[in-house]
Amino acid sequence: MYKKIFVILLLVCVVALAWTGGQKEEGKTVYLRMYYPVGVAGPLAQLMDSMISEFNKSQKEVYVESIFAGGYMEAMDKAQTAFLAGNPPDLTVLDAPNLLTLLDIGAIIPLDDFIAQEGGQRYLDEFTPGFLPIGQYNGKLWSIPWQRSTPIMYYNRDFFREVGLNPDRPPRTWDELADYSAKLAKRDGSGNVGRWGVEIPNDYWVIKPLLVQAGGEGDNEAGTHILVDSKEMREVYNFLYKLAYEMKVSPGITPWSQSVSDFAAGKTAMLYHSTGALTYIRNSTKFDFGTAFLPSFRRQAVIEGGGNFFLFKTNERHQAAAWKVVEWMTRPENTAKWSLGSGYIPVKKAAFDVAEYKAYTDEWPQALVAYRQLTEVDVERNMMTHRMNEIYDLLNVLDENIRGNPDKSFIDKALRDAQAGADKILAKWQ
Amino acid sequence: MVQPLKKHSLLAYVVLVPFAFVMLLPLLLLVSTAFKTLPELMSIDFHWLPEALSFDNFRKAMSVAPFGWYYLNTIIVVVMVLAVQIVTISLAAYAFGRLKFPGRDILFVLFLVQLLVPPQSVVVPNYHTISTLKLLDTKIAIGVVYFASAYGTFLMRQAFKAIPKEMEDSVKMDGGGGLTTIIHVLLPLAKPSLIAFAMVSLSFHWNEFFWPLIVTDTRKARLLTVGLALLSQATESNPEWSLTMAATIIVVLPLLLAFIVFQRRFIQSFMHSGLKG
Amino acid sequence: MGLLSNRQRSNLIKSYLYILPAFLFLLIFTYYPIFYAIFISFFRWSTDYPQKVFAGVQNYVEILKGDLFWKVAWNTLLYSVSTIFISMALGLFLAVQINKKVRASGVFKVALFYPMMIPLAAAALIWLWIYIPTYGLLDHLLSGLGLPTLPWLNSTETALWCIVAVGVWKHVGYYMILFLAGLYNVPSELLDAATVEGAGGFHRFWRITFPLLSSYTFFVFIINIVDSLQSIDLVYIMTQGRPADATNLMVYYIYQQAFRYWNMGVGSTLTSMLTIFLLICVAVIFSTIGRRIYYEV
Repeated sequence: MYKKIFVILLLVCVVALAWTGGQKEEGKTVYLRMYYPVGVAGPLAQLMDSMISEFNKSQKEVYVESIFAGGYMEAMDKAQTAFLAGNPPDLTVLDAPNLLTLLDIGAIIPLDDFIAQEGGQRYLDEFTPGFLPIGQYNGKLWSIPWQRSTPIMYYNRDFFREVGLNPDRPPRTWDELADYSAKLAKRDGSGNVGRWGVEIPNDYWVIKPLLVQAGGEGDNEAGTHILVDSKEMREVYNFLYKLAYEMKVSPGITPWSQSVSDFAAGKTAMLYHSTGALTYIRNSTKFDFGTAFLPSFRRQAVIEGGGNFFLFKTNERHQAAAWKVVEWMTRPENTAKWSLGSGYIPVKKAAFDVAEYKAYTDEWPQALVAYRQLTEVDVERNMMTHRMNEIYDLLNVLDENIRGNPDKSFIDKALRDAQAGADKILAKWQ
Repeated sequence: MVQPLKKHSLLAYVVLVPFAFVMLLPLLLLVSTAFKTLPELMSIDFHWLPEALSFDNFRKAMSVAPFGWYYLNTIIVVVMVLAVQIVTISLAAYAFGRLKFPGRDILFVLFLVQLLVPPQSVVVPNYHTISTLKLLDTKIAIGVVYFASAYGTFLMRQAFKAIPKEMEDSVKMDGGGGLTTIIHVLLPLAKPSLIAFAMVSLSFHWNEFFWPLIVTDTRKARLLTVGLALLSQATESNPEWSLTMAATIIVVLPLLLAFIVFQRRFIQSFMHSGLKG
Repeated sequence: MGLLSNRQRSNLIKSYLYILPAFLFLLIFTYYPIFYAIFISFFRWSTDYPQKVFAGVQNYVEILKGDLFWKVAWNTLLYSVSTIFISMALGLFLAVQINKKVRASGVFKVALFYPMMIPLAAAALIWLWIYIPTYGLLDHLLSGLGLPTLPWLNSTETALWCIVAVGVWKHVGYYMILFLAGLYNVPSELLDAATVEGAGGFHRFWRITFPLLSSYTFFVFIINIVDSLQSIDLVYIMTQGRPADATNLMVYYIYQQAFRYWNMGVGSTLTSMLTIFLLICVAVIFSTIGRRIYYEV
């Protein structure tokens, strides 16, 4: 009896070990692995997979396996780790400011030769302006825009009407933002907050716009220095402090992802967030909502953001095949399809004229707000430094530390400490 | 004697009923959420009962992620790990529990070191090793780091030690070796410990998340827990809770059902494992 | 080896052969990683230094000088000790209640034990949803009762305790069953005798039941302490250490350094420190109170 069980168990081992269940497609000569992160996990991952499989069917040579790798951070973790272990993916979509880190570890290749093949400058001119600079470094282009965005303001038009505000006239300045928030915030009988005026989630990507609006500068062009301990940063945090603790119309701590649901659930009347959340919000709300430029302060300015395609160092054949994928994915009809499914800004100018996309924006002009913001106000580069993830976490921890603390005098010390921390992290580059 | 006992158990109910209810709340919420639509979920008014009994979320979850594959992978990994473990721990436990040889005690302590160094704390070097062995993104990669089990060796050694020497003698007389002894004498007598270990191993590996997350990429090796967590990771927005909860149900339902159906046997053997140590 | 007869020698080799399979796996996936981590811990190896540069004990010094390490260490200790202590105490308490011959004890056992059957990753998602402010379950229940709500995971003061609560929810049934097994095993004559002598319920429990439970419990306790010191699933899925590192636990910190920041030197140093710390702790425990359990049977 036990002998039998023993033998069976051994057999199971052997079978299990033998079975790896791969599924490479027949007849293809180049097999690529692509990591990608997505904004709205479920549906967008599905869209990406279906686009990639369409690509696979469109030609006979290359088979791409699209691998969903989580959020931006997780995707970068995976790509980095795989590269480190000598098993790099062929191409990935990653948060564009990861460029310097990827260069530092020598993981990626420049794309200029491929671009020359496609027609050089003429090809680059096809791209939506404002998205290419973050891919440029040392006179070369290292990444191609894919899911690009700017932070915008979402606001609940029903709530505006409810408190007697004009839903077609969202706040345009910080002062107006504060006034509107005061009108829109609500508390229930037991003192719990029923509704916030505005939520500005804890993420440096929506803090940097405030900083540049105040006239400040966060990081230098070369990515070797960041400035936290500045007059303008104090202004930003004093303003956020006022909203959270003096007026009590905005929460101190709101995780980036949670804030979208907060808006969809009517927990906040206004929200700073990526345009990439647009489709999700549209699908999950019943109320009337609008989108607007971020309210401005000294300058009318915003930053860009989002994910680009990177090609990893593999071999020439794989790299050439990977480029084919990138070229195909960023064709106007495809980038338009991706924008329709997500809310990201199409990365090719011609995409705005693709029939489906045009029909969509004609019917619902809200979808164009992010793009208009990109063209109508000053656009600063997203923060990009060496040791990017570390710096980014440092800034977010700083943000949570300050905004989670009801003591105003803490701001000064926190900014000084963070500056010292950042200088230490970037010591080698200064 | 009757009177105080009653008072006694009344108190027990007063404690147990509310506590059990609180423990069950997450399960109720899980089920309730999975049937709701997104706008319904985002409503400020909370209802336990969904507006309509719709399986849309489940359908969507199944189409978004290949849970069938994830299931298959998880089962294969869990069974594979247990099967190999039983072989390795029985052999080692036999040597440690029934044989005398120089260096035995030191080796045993060395074995126990593994209790302190589970894979998540040495992920980096193990990832390199797996990569060198060309095993990345395979089911073996998930299991291989657990093929030796200090916990299992410890458990089986205790069990083997408790078996009287005389039991072995008949086998020895028939000319049988150590392997025969293990299979015919020791393992049958140590069945409770074996079952106890099997339970611990199965539930541990069924639950596993971090190491599989790191070493796997695709559906051919991804496990349920990893697939589920990825489904909920979103950069620009919150997880779609109704979808996520539907997926969670898909992931937890089979084991939960099995547990409820076989709860008596399940809990009893668990208790037995507790006694035996 | 000339002292050994052929027979003795072959027995010796056989003994080692039995151990070999397990030992091989341990060698590759347990011992080697430890030495590898210790080796790397003496190097700078990061995005700044893609090629390893020898750094002596610099990594150790820098880690010990940093505030974050101590914060993470404290968080980890707080999490482990409170999760285990609370679930053990609650588990024991509930086991004693169930042991009072209640009706439908099966229902209670299922209700208390079922979280063990749910993967931690899934539990993390369910609880994340419970903790969402306003439209999450907890806030619905509290404001429904007219009670003030808390910021749960969104506050540096409450976030870690929210994670502890999930740990307790997950494990309390496990301890309950464990103690129940022990309680069934307590000879009833002993308890009866104590009752006759007028010992109260609590006294009976503390003097008779508890000591009888403790020997096995100890081993479980050690395993679980070690296990929870290494827990990462909840943090990875629920908070990623946020807000402001309030829920950053040691293994997540290691993950951050090694995989997110690519600071391999620092990550390896932390790994070495954690492993050595655990080895020392367990060595001390085994050499004092644990010896009895280790050698018993």
